[in-house]
Formats: sequence, C-alpha cells, structure tokens
Amino acid sequence: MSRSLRALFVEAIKSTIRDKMALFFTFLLPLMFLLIFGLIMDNSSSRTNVAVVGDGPVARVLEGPELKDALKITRVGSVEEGRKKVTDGDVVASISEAGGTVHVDYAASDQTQAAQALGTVNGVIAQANLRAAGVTTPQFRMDARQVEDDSLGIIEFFVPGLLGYGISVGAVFGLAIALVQWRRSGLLRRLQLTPIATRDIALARIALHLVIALAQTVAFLLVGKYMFDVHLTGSWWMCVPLVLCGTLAFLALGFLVASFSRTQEAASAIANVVTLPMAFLGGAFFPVEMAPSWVQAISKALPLTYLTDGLKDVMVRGHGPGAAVVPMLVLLGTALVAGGVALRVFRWE
Amino acid sequence: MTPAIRTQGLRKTYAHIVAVDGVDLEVERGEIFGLLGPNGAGKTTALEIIEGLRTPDEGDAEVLGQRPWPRDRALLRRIGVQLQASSFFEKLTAAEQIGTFAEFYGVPRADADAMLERVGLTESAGVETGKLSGGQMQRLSIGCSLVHRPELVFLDEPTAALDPQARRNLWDLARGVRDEGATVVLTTHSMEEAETLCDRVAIMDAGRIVVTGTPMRLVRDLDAPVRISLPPDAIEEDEARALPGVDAVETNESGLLLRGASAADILAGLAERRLLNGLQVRGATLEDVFLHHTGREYRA
Ligand SMILES: Nc1ncnc2c1ncn2[C@@H]1O[C@H](COP(=O)(O)OP(=O)(O)OP(=O)(O)O)[C@@H](O)[C@H]1O
Ligand SMILES: [Mg+2]
Repeated sequence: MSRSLRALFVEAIKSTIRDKMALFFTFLLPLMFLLIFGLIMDNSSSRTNVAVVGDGPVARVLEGPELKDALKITRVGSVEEGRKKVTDGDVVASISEAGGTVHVDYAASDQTQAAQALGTVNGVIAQANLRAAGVTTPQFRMDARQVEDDSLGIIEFFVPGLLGYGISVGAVFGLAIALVQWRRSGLLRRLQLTPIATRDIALARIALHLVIALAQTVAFLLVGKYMFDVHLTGSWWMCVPLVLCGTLAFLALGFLVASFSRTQEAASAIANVVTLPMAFLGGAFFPVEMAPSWVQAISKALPLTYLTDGLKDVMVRGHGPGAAVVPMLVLLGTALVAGGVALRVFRWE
Repeated sequence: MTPAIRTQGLRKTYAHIVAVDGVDLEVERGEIFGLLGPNGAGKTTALEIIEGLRTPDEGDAEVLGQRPWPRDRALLRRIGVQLQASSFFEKLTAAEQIGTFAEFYGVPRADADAMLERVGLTESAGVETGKLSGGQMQRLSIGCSLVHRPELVFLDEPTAALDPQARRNLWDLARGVRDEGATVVLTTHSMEEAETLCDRVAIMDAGRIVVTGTPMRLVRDLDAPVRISLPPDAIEEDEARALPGVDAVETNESGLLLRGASAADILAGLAERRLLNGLQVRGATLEDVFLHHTGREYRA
C-alpha cells in the first residue's frame, strides 16, 4: 500500500468518525429501526414464557438443553409468585411440583401459548412415567423434523432486511456527499495538483466503506443475537462477502448520484430518491413476496433486493453458501455497470 | 538549464470571454516572479494552465522542461501550488492536513511540523481546518504547497487575506524559499507588493501580458515625472509654478503637488526658500507603468 493511499485512508476514517451526522445515519438509524421494529413486533418469539417453582425432577427436565428452544423459563420462589406472574401477563404458565403432582397455573388469555406450555409439560410427565414404569423401548415414537420455510419471523426478517438498508444508505449517501463536497470546495482540483494516483483516491474511499459495512454487519449480528435471540442458520458467515459485494454496488450508485449532483442538497435529495423506494421495494422493510406482482417485478430490478434476499437465505433461511452466489454476481455486475457509467459522466470541477 | 517556465501563445476562451489571450512568458530559475493585474485580467487562468490544471485552446507551455498536461505525476512532485481558493480535508486539523500532504510526497512528518511553524500555525495545530480564520487557512494552504520543498511554487494571491504582519512574514518566507534555490511565481493586485517582493514582474490586462521586466527597470523606462508634495500654505501656487524645473502644479486638500522631470532642480529651488519641511518626493510607481501601458488608472 502506498503512503498516499494510507494517508487518504486514514483521512477517510478520521473524517467519518468526526462526522456525527454521518455516523448517526449509517450506524444508529438502521439499528434504531431494528430495535423499534423488533421490540414493537416481537410477538412472534417461538419460545413460550413460563415460570418454574422449585427444582424437582420435572423442573430440571424443563430447564434442560432439549427444551431451551421451546421454553423461556423464569425461576420464581413460590407458587403465589408464579401465579402473580401469570395474572400480570409476564408468563403464560407457572409450573410447580409437589410429590408426584405437577401443578400448572396457566393464562386464560393466550390459549395457543398456554396449550403449548401444557403440551410440553405433559410430554415431560409422560416420559417420566414411562421411565418410572421401566419402559426403555417405548412402543411408539414420534420422529418430528422441522422444515425450513421461506417465510420468516419478524426479527429474522428485519435483521438481514435492515442490515441491507443500512449498507445501502451508508454507501450511497457517504460517497455521494463526500464527492460533491470535495468537488465544490475545490479539493478535487487541489488533489489533481499533488502527485497522488487518482486510483488511490478511489481505493481509499472503497476501503473506508468496506470497513463501515463490516462494522454495520457486526453491530447487526450482535444486536440480533443478544437482544433478539435471532437464530442464525448454518452459512450465516456468507453474509460477509455478500455485504462487501453490496457495498461495492451501492458505492457505484453513490458515485453515479455524485455525477449528477452539483450541490450537496441535490446529492442528498437524489440519494434519498434512490435509497428510500429501494428500501421499500427491496425487501428491507416488508416482505415483497406479499406484494402485487408488478411490485415484485420492479423489486427484481433493484440491487437491494438481491442483497436482502441473499442475506435472508444464508442468515436465517438455512440455505447453503451457494445461495449467495447469484446475489453476489448481480451486485458485482451492478457495481461494474453503474461505476462505468459514473466514470464517464463524473466531472472533477 | 531550461527556464522554470516558458509559454508560447497561450489562449483560453470561455463562452464569450477570452480569459487568456496569447500569453508568452519566461520565468528564470531562482527568481520571484510576479504576475499582476486587475480582477479578471486572466492571472489565475494563466497560472492554472501552466500548472496543468486546465488545457489551453492554443499555445504551449514547458514547466521545468516538461509539458504540464496531460497530468504528469513526476512533474507534480517537483512543483507546489497554492490555489486562489483554499480547499482542504475539512475534518482534519491543521497539523493533520499538512501531514497528509507531506505523505502524498513521501516527506517525513517532522518536515510537516517545521512548515507549520514556518507559516506561523503551530499554535493552531490542533484546530479543525474548517474552524481556522481566513488568513490562517491561507497560510495553511501556502504551507501545504511548500511542504515538499518544490523546485517551483505557484502562489495565487498569497497575501490577499493576510494582515500586515502576516504579509511581511509571507514575504520573508517567499524570499527564504527563493534563497534556497526555488522559483516562486505569484500573483498579486498590489503594485506595492510587486515592487518590494518580486525580482521580475509581468503586468497583465484583459488576458494579455502588457509589459515584463524588473520593477525598477519598468519604472525607470517610463521616464515619468517626479511628484513633490508640499504642506498647504507653504508657498503660493503661482510662486511654485515659477520654480526652476516645475512643469505643473496642482492644489488639493493635502497641499500642493508639483510635477517636473528633475527632482534635483525642484528640490534646489525649494531648499533656497527653506521649504523642505514636511515635503514628500514620490517617483513613478508600477501604477504609473500600468497607466502608461493601458491608458487606464490602476484600481486594485
Ligand atoms: N471556468 C470559467 N468559466 C467561465 N469564465 C471563466 C472561468 N474562469 C475564468 N473565467 C473568466 O476569465 C476571466 C479571467 O479570470 P481569472 O480568474 O483568470 O482572472 P484573475 O486575473 O485571476 O482575476 P482575480 O484578480 O479576480 O483573481 C474572467 O473574466 C473570468 O470571468
Ligand atoms: Mg485570480
């Protein structure tokens, strides 16, 4: 790496960290969307909230590893306390043991969830009974297999969707505004009079945005995993190359926006016109599968669709790494075409 | 050795204006060369063509023996440029700014700090560039143009935003740079500045070079009358007109103004009458040179 390139990269990082507005729009806002959407609509959690009193044999099974995906257990000190949690609506059922009897206090309001809790407890009791009766090879077994379908829970939808949105906003706005500002202040002319390679100016900005995109991805993964308990599927790590390809595509769009904008206001208006409709139609805010077919047709023409779809496939739908290949190729193609056009249209002064 | 700059018939036209209209220039190595003229004369356009930032419609230029366009990175290492309008990486501090430019030329950090000191910005080293005063920005811009010790430096109105003290410091800096062997090309509106600072000047008007030479030589060639001003009521106007060597007399609010070809004759007459108190002698200036060649008063 040449000294000029390193100096330009350091400048880019410092300028970004010192630009509070840019930080807000690229990092905080998408994360805030995730928090707000996630917290408001998080009623789809597949885990059932139950309270457990004491620590008898049934309680231990309920808390065991096999049921950790089904139940979210809150320990309480007494039967009364458990019942209060049910009446308050904090849990759907409170479970206590006395000798051979398992008491369940369950909420009348949420029948489905209560039934789920009752069913689970019943299953545990049935198994315990069998074991007590000395049955080691039961006559009937259930072999249940989960089938991944493409419809997603709310938060499983929003983590990849809003991550894609955040990437698009960060790259399109970040590059377009910086370039227009540099052109207007005359910095681009000034830089032409230094011996730096034009390529280095581009590379430094690309490197900056790849770093920003990776930071956004890490932030989304951490918030998704630790605040919302998103279940990431096998090849979730393919989100990294996908996000990098997406960043290149959106940088090219930002470059194009800068080519057509003379003022910062114009750049920011055009960038909005590019990113907002794309977010709505590109599967960032709601699933396009539910939209009318003409909307889906438009959606197919938007690069963000390929990013969000690819991210959903590998992060939460359980598809293999291969699912990211086509989206990545489309995004790289977008980067080449948009970048090539922008190179022709862009003016230095 | 080739001259620092040689141009032939540079021409540049914008829509309806001929900004630069056949400029031939030759700047020697190791001199401070001033390009002066009123607003819109074409100074900036001419410089930017020579720097390689704009291409001329016609004509040719050679800078340190190379043609400046298309962009030649090897040549750019050897020259330094301060543009008329400063532009910076806005979020960097003054020290980081000049440090970044130093990196572009592969110059050690210590040189950047030394240059910051030389343009008097050590105290503002940690200030974000966007928050510097106009004069401080201009000094920073000059510092950035000099940080790599270029062989040839272009300063476009380097003293425009500077206070008198900073202006004098800049003159010292420019002389220092020249004394280290570099060539300095600068533009200015101030004929006075050109006279004190520049080894040679070219006066430009309406896209053309009107005249070129050392300031002394230009003034002397003018063969202009000396002007002697006297305090009011020192002498009657008629009596003054009768003095030996006086060609014309004018009365104005600050006193009498006598013109004549020879300062010696007039001064001898005034000395006889014990009228030397409060008197001022002014020879011709570059403003007179401008007037003489363009037929217009020079108004900076
Ligand atoms: N990019 C441009 N487009 C159109 N006209 C221009 C452009 N640049 C300069 N001009 C015109 O060319 C003429 C010369 O401008 P220039 O900036 O070279 O003058 P100058 O001598 O540097 O003036 P000043 O002392 O005000 O800096 C002016 O009439 C100006 O309006
Ligand atoms: Mg100018």
